[in-house]
This record gives sequence, C-alpha cells and structure tokens, in this order.
Amino acid sequence: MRNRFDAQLAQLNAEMIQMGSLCERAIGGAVKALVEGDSELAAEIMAQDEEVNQQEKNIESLCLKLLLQQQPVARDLRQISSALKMITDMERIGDQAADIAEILVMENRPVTMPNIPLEEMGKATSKMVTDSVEAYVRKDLEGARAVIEYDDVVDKLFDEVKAELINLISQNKANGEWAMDLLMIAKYFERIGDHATNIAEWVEFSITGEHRSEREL
Amino acid sequence: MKNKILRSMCALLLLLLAAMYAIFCVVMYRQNVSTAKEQLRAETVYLKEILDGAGGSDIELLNHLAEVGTRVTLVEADGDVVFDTDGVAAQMENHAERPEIEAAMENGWGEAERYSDTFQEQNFYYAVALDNGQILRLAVSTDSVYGTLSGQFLLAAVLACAVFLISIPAADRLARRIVEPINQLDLRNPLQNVAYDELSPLLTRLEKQNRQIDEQMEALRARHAEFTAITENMQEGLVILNGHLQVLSINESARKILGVDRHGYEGGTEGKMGEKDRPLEKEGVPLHILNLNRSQELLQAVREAQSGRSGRCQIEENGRKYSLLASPVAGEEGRGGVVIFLLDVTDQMEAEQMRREFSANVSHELKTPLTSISGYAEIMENGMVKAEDVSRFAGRIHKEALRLIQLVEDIIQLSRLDENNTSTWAHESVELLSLCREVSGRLASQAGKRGITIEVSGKKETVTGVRRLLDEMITNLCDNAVKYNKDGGKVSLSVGEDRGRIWVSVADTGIGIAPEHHGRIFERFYRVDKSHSRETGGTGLGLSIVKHAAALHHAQIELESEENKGTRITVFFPEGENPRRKPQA
Repeated sequence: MRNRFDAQLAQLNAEMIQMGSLCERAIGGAVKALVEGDSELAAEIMAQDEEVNQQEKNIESLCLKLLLQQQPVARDLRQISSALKMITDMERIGDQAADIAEILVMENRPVTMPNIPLEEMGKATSKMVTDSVEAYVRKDLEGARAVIEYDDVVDKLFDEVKAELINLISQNKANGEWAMDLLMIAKYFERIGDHATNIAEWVEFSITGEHRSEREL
Repeated sequence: MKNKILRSMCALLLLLLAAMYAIFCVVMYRQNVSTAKEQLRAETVYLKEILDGAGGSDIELLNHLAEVGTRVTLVEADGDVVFDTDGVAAQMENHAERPEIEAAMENGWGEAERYSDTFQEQNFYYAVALDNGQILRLAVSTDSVYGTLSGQFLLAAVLACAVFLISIPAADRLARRIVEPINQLDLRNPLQNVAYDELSPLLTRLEKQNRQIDEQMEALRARHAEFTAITENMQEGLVILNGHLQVLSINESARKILGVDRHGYEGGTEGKMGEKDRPLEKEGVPLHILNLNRSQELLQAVREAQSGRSGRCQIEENGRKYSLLASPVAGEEGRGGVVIFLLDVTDQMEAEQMRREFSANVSHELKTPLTSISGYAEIMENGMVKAEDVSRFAGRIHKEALRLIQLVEDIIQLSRLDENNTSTWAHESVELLSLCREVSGRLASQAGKRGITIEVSGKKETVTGVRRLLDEMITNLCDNAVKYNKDGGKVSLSVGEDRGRIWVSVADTGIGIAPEHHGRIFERFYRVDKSHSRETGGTGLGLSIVKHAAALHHAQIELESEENKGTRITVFFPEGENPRRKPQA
C-alpha cells in the first residue's frame, strides 16, 4: 500500500518538474521572442500553452486521486496540497507567457527599441521562474527564499519601465499604442514574477510546514 | 541418516532376539522330550523287573508308586485295565486298541506319543509285556513346544529389555560415529579428508563443481570489474533509467555532467554499474531524470526511447553542449528502461562553426579576384580595350591571378599547419638575427617605394625550429608592418633574450590596431578595415599562419598596439629553445 503511495508521490514529483519545465520554456521563449523580435517563436509559444493547461489537469486529477484514495497526513499532505496550489500559479505563468507572445505576434513595432529595461526585466522574471522550479526540484529552502527576495528587483524594474514609457509617450504621442503594448508586457512580467514568488512560498511551505501568509497574520 | 541407522539396528536386534528365543525354545523342548523318553523307558524296565520278580502284579506296590508322579497303568492281556494311578481302573475303557499296548502285546514293548490340546501337554507312553502276560504302561507328560515358549516368555522379555537398554545407546553412538565424518565434511574442500571411499565419487564431483562455480564467479567478477572500470573511466556520461525514468545507475562522468553530487542524492549503485535494483534516492524520494535536467528535449528523447525507438537531443549543462542519445532497454513489464549516453560536443560544434566560417570566407576570398579577372577578360574579349590599354588590363589580370595564387598557397600552408603533425616538419637550428636580415633584405624594395625603412637589431640567438615556417612568420609580420605603416614610417626587427626565453619582435610606426580587434586579428580572414585591406592586398591569412607557426614551435605571441602610434608583435620561444642553456646540447 505504502509502496504504491510512494510510487504515486514520485510520479507527482516528476509531473510537477515537467510542468515547471514547460513554464520555464514558455517564459524563456517569450523573453527570447521579445529580444530577437522573433514572431514565429512567439506563435509557437502561444501554441504550446495548451500543453501547460493539459499538464495542470493531469496533476490536479492525480492530486485529488491521492487525497481521496490515500488520505495522506503530515508531510505527504503538505506535498500534495502545495502541489495543488503551485500548479495554479504555474498555469498562470504559462498563460501570461502566451499573452506576451500574443502581443509580440500582433505588434508591428519600430525597428529600434527605446532605451527601456524591458529585456532586463524579462530576463529577471525568467530567472525567477527557473529558480523557483529549481528550488522545488532540489527542495532547496534557501533557493526558495532567494526567489521571494528577488521579486523586489522585478518590481523595481517594472517601476523603471513604467517611468520610461510615460516619458516616451510625452515625447511623441504617436508612440502611445506601442508604449501601451510594452507596458502590458512589463505588467505580465511583473505578474509572472509574483506567481514565481507564490511557487517559492509553497516550496517553503512544503519543506517547513509553515506558509508566509500564516506567519504574517 | 542417523535415525535411519538407529532404527535399522533396533529392528535387527529385535529380530535376532526373537529368532534366538524361538530356536532356544525348540532346542530346549527337544532335549526335554528325549530326556523324558529315556527316563520313561528306564523306569518301565525297572518296574517290569520288580513286578516280574514279585511274580505278578503287586497292586500295593503300584499304588505306592502312584504317589511319585509317574502314571502307571496295568492292562490285562485282553485290554482291560487292571490298575491305573490316575483313575479307577474299572471305569476305564478297554485299552487293547491303544497303539503302544498293541505293539507291546506283539513285540514285548511299544511306545506312542499323544498330544493333549486341553492341557497343552505332550504325553509319552511306553508299554512292556510282563512275564505273566499283563502289559505294564508308564506315561509321562512334558510341556508342548508352545508351552515351553510361553513358559519362558517373561524371562525372555526381561532379557530383551535389558539387551535393548544396553544396546540402544551403543547403537546411537555407533550411528553417530558413522555419520560424524559426513557431517564434518568440508564442502569447500571436499577432497581434503575422505572418510568413506563410497563417498569419493560424490565428493570428487562436488569438488569439480566447486571449482567450476569458483571459476565462473571469478569470471563474472572480472567482467563486472572490467565493465565498471570502463564505465567509470570513460569520458562520456552513461545513465540507466528504469521504467519510471528513475535513475538506477549513473557513471562518474554523467555524475559530473548532470551534477548529481550537487543535488545530494545517495545510494543507487555508486561505482557499480550494471546492478539494477533500486534507484538513487534522497530522503526516500527516488531520483527522477527530470530532477537532473528538465529540458523538454531530454524528456522527449527519453519518451521516444521508452516507446522503443532511440531518441536524440542536445542539452546544455554548465555552458557546455552535450549530445544525448537515449536507447530503449527491453523491460519485463510494459515500460522498459532507458540507457542515456552523453557526449560532450562543445569542441566539435565550435570546430564545426569555425570550419563553416572558414569555408564561407575562402569561397568569398577566392571569388573576388576571379570576378575581377573574368571582368577584365570579358572586356578584352569584346574588343572594347584599345591596343595601348591591353597591357594595363593584362597587368590587372596578372595581379589578381598572383593574388589568387598567394591565397591558395596560404590556404595550403594553413591546412598543413592544421594537421599539426610535427613530424612533417624538419626541425633544425635557426639563427634568428640573420633570418631577420634576410627578410628585411627581401622586403626593402617594397618598403622603399613608400619611404619606409626597416631596421634590424639585437644579438644572435639560435632556436630549434622549422626554418621555412620561421621565415614565413617573420616575413608575414614584417610585411604587415610595412603594409599598415604610414609613408615614411619605420619598421624595426629585433632579436633578444629575456630570462632564458628567446624572442623576436616586429614593431612599426603605423596605423595601429584598435583594442576591440586585438582578440580577433589572428582569426582567419579577419580584417580590421575591410575596405582598406583590398588596396593593400594580402589574403587575411597572414597572422593566422603566424599564430599556427608559433603554436607549432610552442611559442607565445604578445601584441602591443595603439591606434595611430604603431604596433609591436613579439614572439616568445619557450625556455628550452635556447641551445646554450640546454644541459648537454
């Protein structure tokens, strides 16, 4: 009985890593498409979002099956419940990466990128997602906490991007539509950073049994 | 075995005892009977003599005899009983028919024996005829055979018990003694002390099989050690996964490539490839291949392998590129395992990249002069060139052709250097200062046209090397120094020695090289100023040849340059190159 349960937990772990990997690919691809202006890649990312959604459903049903059939307690329960929470964040990351890709496909942007730290922001976000998945894979408490700290960097970059874009519009109103698109992308990056933070918090919870939101209350 | 021996011995003992008892009883019985008969005959004869002496039957005497125990019967000649010690004579039937009496009447004596079932007794009768015609009969009774048997049974039983009591421990000891050597057999060395000859065929065979097993085990161990040595020492990574894609076994290289130790996984089969039981694990969680690398390409390749085809992909770990080959392993149940092979292809890919760039460059460089040649030739062919211009056009064609030849020569030279086979080059002692003088002499006229002076300074130093390559190296450097010099500039060649290392240096007062180009000028076909280089000629391979020639001599190149001030390139030969410092050169 326990053996079977262990095998299922191992499978859950593998599926989670796979889903994390899909998210990494999505966000990494979105950043690359942004940097290189590769709209083909962007279209590909949009198509791949379906895989993330499918994987979410798989993990969800696996988790529910485990909860119902095995009635886990203590650490096992934590692992399964945090997995259930994490996949929601991962799925959102996938969606938002696809949203970024959608903007990149439609956008006909000027050849020269204005001097805004959007690339930097994208790379920072991508790093957060990679690090949070890595923290999950290695059950690395320090890594998870580092991701949570790193969110401030992305937030700060978002403010910078916003300020630059306001500047850009005030210089030339014709830039308005395009600047809005860039702002949306920046906002998506910022949201993805928040989701990565959530994942890291759940990683922390699954290790320590204590979630940040509880402690702060 | 011991029990069996014991049981058999007891059974044998019992059988023997019974047989002995029976035989003993029969013998006893026969002896008794014959003694009794003898006595009976003697008694009868005595009594006859007495009665005959008394002159007829003396009933009183006979009555007296009755108390002794022997049965005496006196019968008349017609068979009527006159006297009997056991009963009333008158009531007894006529005895004339009795066989012993009948015989006595006829022969004077007779005997008979009869068996009484009632008393389990045997009766013997002996009769003799008295002188007065009467028949005297005496009878005695003995136990029958069965009587004897049952009579002695108690004694026999007691004896048997006594015998058993003594013999069972003895038999037990005996059985032990028989079995002991068998129990004591050293099965590893069965032939060491053979206790029973009967066992030796068995033991010989055992010994032979032992040896076979040992040999096979040894062979297995050796093969395993060999396998481990191969897998642990090979550069390529090897990972074996089970049907759940958990890592069963991973060799040293793969550990390093995928960073297993960094993840803190334990168990599995460290240093023991091939033992497939349990996967590596950390805190009870098995190591999934995705824990090591979660790229989608890898997962796809592994899935491919699980479905029975081999999968390939490329992964990146720590900035190096690995080609991954996943092959299926047939498993017992449904999903089989996967063997992953990791090959470092970073250098290969870089080399590939370089080769691609080189061939692209070569074709471009070859095409440029050819286009000019073909263009000039076409114009001349169409008769559009005036007679006086023909020589000018031909000159152009000639120049471009020379350039082509130079280019091809350089490429040949480079490819020879690329082979990096030192044996193709004959090493000899080369004196560098005079070599520099030769070079400067050759280039003097070319330099003189632009008012550039070439100076040679320094002391005589000798290195072991390939004269042709060293010549070419200095020529190329000097040629560059002239080409990229300002008109009226200066080129200085110098030779010297610094802390045991001989050096040659070429300095100019030319246009110099901007710092961002420093790292790349030794690349093939790299040009700092692409438009300018066309005018100055050259193939773009000169410095590349210098680099390769220096590498062949294990020499180092140092570059100092400042834009618009000049360039100094120094070639340092390794320490051992100074023959004077060599121990016994």
